[in-house]
Amino acid sequence: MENITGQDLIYAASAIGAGLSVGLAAIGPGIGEGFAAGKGVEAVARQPEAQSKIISTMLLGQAVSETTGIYGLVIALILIFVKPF
Amino acid sequence: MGISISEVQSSGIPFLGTEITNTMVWTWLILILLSALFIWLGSGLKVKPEGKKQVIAEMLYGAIDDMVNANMGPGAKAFVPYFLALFAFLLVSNISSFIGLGVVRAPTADIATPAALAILTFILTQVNKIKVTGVKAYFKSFIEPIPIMLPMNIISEIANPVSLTFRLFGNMMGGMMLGALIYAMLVGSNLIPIWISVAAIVLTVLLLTKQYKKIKTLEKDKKVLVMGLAIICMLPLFPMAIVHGYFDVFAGCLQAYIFCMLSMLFIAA
Repeated sequence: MENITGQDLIYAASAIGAGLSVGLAAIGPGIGEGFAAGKGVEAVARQPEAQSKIISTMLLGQAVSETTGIYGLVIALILIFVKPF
Repeated sequence: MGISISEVQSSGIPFLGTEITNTMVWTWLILILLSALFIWLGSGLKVKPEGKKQVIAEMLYGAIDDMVNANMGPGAKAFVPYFLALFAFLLVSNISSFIGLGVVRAPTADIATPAALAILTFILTQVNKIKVTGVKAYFKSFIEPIPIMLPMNIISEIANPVSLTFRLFGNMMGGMMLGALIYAMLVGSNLIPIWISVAAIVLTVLLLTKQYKKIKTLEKDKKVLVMGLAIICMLPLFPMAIVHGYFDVFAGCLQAYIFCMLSMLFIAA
């Protein structure tokens, strides 16, 4: 542990950055998808006969809102595996 | 540490200006399998279906036909074969790492495959737009409502394939990595092929069960000991089942469906 170079510090900071990137990016999609799922349950409870259509629309919306979280994951993957710095 | 995330490996064999990677090999294998399946399903069709084969083929076609009809209108019959092929390829390649028991690396977990498919969708979107609106109206749509919006319009067109690519790639890659980490936690290492560790656990459980049957006549506390050992050996199997069920089967099917659905919406828009 006596010889910590600048490169080591960059790797350490990259690891912290990767964790922060996934963790912070997961908050928004989590809340958003939860809202969508809750509204979907409400809609199915009100109109059980339209269930399949509601579920597919809900999943589509959730997938789109999930994209921001996936961007965070991709940034983390780049930081850890590609090591751009 | 005993953990390795399987990477895209290059074999070093040159092919069309690049090198053959494991993604390409698995993609070809899946394409050959799917082509054989669909040629077999599509051969010898009759007006009045005989046997199960044609019923299955019609069911598959009908499902995609319904999806296309619902999302793109009745005038888009020409897109049904493209989407059937796309959906079948995505479905099989997403769950191929599950069927392949850790030997196959899902082609969609390499960014090249989703990017190629998203570029196909992008080209189809632009061609369809030109076909429907005409060349002049197509170029005019970029400077609407005011010419200063040109960069924004271009970015919003390019953002669609980029988000399609990263959604599929991120889901598959993230699922694969989490799967590897959970395996490393449960089995100790994911460097040994997964099927060997699973086989070892199953074998242990089987041996213990046999032992348990043999000592049925013995006293009670020994029975409890053997039974407890068997249950402890079986414990890692339950989280494994959940991991595979969620990341491979559920997320794989969902992402294949969503990729096709969003492609349809982009092309229809």
